[in-house]
Amino acid sequence: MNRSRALKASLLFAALISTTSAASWTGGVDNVSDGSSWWIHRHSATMKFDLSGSVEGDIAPIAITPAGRVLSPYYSGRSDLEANDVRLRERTSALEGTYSSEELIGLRSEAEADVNLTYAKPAGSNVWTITWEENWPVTLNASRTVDYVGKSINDRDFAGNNGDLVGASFLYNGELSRERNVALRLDRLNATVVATNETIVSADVFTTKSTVYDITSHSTGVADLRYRQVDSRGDLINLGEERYSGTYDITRKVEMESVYTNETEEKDWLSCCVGGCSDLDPCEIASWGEVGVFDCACS
Amino acid sequence: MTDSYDVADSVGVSGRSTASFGDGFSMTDSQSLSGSGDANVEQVLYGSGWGADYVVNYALETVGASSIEGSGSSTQTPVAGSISRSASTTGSWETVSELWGVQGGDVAGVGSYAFWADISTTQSFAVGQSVAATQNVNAEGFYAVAFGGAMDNDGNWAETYADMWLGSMGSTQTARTGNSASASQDTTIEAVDGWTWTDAMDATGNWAGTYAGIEYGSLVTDQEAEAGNSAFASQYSEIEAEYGEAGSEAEDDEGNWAETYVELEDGNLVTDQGAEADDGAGAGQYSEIEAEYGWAWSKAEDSEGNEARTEVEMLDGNGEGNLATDQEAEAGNSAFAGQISLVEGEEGWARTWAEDSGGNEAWTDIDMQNGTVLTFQAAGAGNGVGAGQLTLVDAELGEAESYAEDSEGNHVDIFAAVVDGSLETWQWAEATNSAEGYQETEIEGDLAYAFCEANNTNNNYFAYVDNWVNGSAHLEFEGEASVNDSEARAHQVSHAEGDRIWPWANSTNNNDENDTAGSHDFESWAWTNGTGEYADVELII
Repeated sequence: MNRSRALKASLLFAALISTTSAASWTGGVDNVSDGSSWWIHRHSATMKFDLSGSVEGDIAPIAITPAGRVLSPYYSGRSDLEANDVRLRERTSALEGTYSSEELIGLRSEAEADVNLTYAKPAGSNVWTITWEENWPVTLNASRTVDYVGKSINDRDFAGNNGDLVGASFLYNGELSRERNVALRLDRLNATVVATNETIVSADVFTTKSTVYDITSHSTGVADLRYRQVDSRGDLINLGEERYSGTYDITRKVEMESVYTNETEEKDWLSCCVGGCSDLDPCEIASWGEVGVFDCACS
Repeated sequence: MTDSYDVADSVGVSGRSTASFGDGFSMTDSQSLSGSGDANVEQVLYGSGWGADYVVNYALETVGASSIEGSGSSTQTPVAGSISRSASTTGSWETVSELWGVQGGDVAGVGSYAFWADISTTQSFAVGQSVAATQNVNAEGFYAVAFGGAMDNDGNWAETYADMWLGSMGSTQTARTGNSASASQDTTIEAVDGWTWTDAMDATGNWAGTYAGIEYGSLVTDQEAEAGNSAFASQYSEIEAEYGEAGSEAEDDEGNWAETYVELEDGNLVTDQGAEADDGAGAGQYSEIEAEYGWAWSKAEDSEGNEARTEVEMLDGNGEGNLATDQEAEAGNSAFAGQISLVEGEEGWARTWAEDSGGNEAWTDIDMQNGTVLTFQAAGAGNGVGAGQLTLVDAELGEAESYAEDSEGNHVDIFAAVVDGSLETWQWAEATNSAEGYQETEIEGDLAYAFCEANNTNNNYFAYVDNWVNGSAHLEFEGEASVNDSEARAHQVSHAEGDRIWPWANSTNNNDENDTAGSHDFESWAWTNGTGEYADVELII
């Protein structure tokens, strides 16, 4: 009888909780052997949000008392939208000048589907595979135009989608004309943790999602553009940061997409890798990040 | 919901949990475990607020199992849940499986333990309107235990327990709390040693329990206990063993105590017991024994020190022989013990005994050899003690005696005996600040003998009357005796037939007798007091 006491897995799986208006869940693995730990927390809601509007005017001083006290002219606005780590954030502040803007936002999210946790350790192995499956989709579409001439305007935004990020910041612009369209979509999430007796070997969060950020602008001042894309482990795989100081006409469209199928169920590559990868084609299972594309020597 | 695993490589584990958010929040899970070796599994289910509503804990640990199989499932909402877990191990050094939970201060749980024993356990737990845990345990091997318990937030609790050593055990147990607490078990044991008990205590301190055990044999018992402004315990038992015992006990919050007990060696036993404590205490028992040796007793003692006891013994049942008893005990500002007994054996004894807090005592006693005894006994204590018996003896030797003694040492003794024949007697003795006794007896046999005696030992006041018949004897005897500080007195009326008839009467210093044969009626008197004494036997016919 094999009574190996040296090889033991000590894992803690937790937990799934919810509130009544919104829904959230938390899952994690603690390996008490080395203290390694990995946790995930998600929250969303089944909801619908629509906004449309426009504004056109002069940012000008106004007297607020008969004695002639004048209120300094300014405009400021902000918006924060977030559902299941799909988010849009906008910040605008402008001094005296002429300002016009149009905006359209539509947000849809659902958080009613079951969240599943599965875990397995085959007999004869010390490899645990723990998987969470979430199907809480989110769609966020937003378009916005800004036209400004005046002393100065700061107009910043970014769109985030489960680790991916695209944004632009127009700072200290005397003239700004921009049109921006954002389309964010999250379909599902699959988180997989692989652990052995000794430690947590890997933790991947596979999100099926797409991010589209389209901008056309004319600016006199500073224009910062940036994007960031991460892989299933949160590691940065694509990054862009640009700064334009002066007068520029910019057109930019960023599209990012991640599509994951349930790889762990199709092929038990995790257990295989622990036991040896001699019969496994690494190109078949590698993440398609930067390293996966350029370093995979496939015949 | 948290799961913690510490398992050997040779153990395979799989599980699936689902959280549903659609129509109210709920969670389900299922899991399985298989393989061999060591395993240590802990699982916790939380209600909403991470335990604000309820917490359920499951733990399974096994060491060195040649085979482990486990499975389970659960369903829960923020305010209610149910969980079931099954586990079986073979060839393990040790296996422990526990499932328990708490909600709003109500706690219930079940557990099983095996040491060098194969065990299969199915446990379930439900929380919602009440908290309840159940288990079904089957074990075979060196040692195994099954237990369950419950306590509500008022302090009522109940628990049940079964164990076995070197054999097999099957037990179904339940523990539940709500506005009260209850526990029960239905257990079968075949083992060298087996032991079961169930007890309950309410929040005010009323307690009741019942138990049964065996050595070298089998035990079937169905026990339950309940607490909640009172306590109650019950038991149905069947025992076949070289040694077996069963009992019930009850004690109320004022200290009144009642107990019944039965034991046997080498035979069978059936018992139906109960115990109760609520502003008093009570115990009961129905017993049947077929054995070489059997013993049954009941006892009651109130909080003021009044005590009563009844017992019956049987040695070497004659093949058809047995001991049957219907006992009860009661305490509560007084005490009482009763018994209906039937003994068949080479030897049999039956006794009652009562003593009040003032030092007065009374008892009855029956001895029998090679025959049968049928007796109805009673004992009491309180404002005066008493003991009595209605007895039928058919034996080679039979004796029936009743005795009462007051706190001053004054006593009466009522006695009847038969050799090779039958004896039927109704006796009574009691003592307060004096003592008195009575008997109405009919005897047929080779020898018949009955007497009534009164004795004031401090003043040496003595009174005694009897009749003694030998050879084809027939005796009908009615007599009484009484004693107090100032006098001892005895009297009898009898009809006697036999080869020799020899009645006596004695005072402290005087004696009278008649020695004759045939068929005669007699009346006798004896008394002694401070001014004189008298002893006389009159041949009436």
